[in-house]
Amino acid sequence: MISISVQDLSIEIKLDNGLYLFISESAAGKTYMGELIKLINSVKPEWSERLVFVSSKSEVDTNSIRLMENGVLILDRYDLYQSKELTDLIVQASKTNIVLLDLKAISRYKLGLVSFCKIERTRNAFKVVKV
Amino acid sequence: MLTIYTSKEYFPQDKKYIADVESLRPLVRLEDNIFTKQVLSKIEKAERQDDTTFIDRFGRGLYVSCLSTGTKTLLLLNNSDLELILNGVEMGSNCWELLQDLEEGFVYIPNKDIQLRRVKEDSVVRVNDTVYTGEDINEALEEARYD
Repeated sequence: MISISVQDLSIEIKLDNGLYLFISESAAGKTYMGELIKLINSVKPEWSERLVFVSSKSEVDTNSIRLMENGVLILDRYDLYQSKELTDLIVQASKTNIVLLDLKAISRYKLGLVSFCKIERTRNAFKVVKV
Repeated sequence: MLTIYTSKEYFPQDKKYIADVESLRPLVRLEDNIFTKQVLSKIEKAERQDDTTFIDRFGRGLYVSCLSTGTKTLLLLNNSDLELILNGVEMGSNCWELLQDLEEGFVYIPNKDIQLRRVKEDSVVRVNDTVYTGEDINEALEEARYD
């Protein structure tokens, strides 16, 4: 579980390590939460290695993902850049991290054991919980 | 008539395919019509303010660029000037119900579980290369899963 706040904004991820798929819902707040994470990483750089949000292939740093431990990796819009190499890497990373995947079509590659999660949000707070 | 492609093999050669709908973000407009209001209300829990801004569920005024990709896809599909095939893979299941209200558009949805919930009897949709009405639309989408 991870809980972070900056001023009156907060993110709480109430999950154990593992691989989670966001439930298939538009306007759930994933991308907005991503912007908030980027903001947190800019004002609290100590979090940037443990809290990673990517939404395109060009933002993926495979070396950093390999080194992550007890962190949170969020892959937004994964339908657009899924690959076997990256899927294998995130499945491996999910053994020691919380990995959240926005994947609305069926995965073309083997994900293994996955759970589902969703975002509960208020005006200034995001909470990711298991469904 | 709306056309839903479940496989790229059915794409006509004279239409361009847009893999990333966000690349068309500058073209998204909140036109003052019932469809736009329904999309905003049902998916975003928001209200239209003008062509480029809306009030979100928490009362904040935001630009169209802040809309979800699923909402942007529906709004772009409703723009009959666009003769493009849009990638609908990022539309969440809460977007699918509104697809049947579109009179035009071409969308690629490879998601295996796609269904138009509460489909209307008089809805007409082309699935790949065949036209269907009413509940037959969902049967066609289901059959397309096993193609």
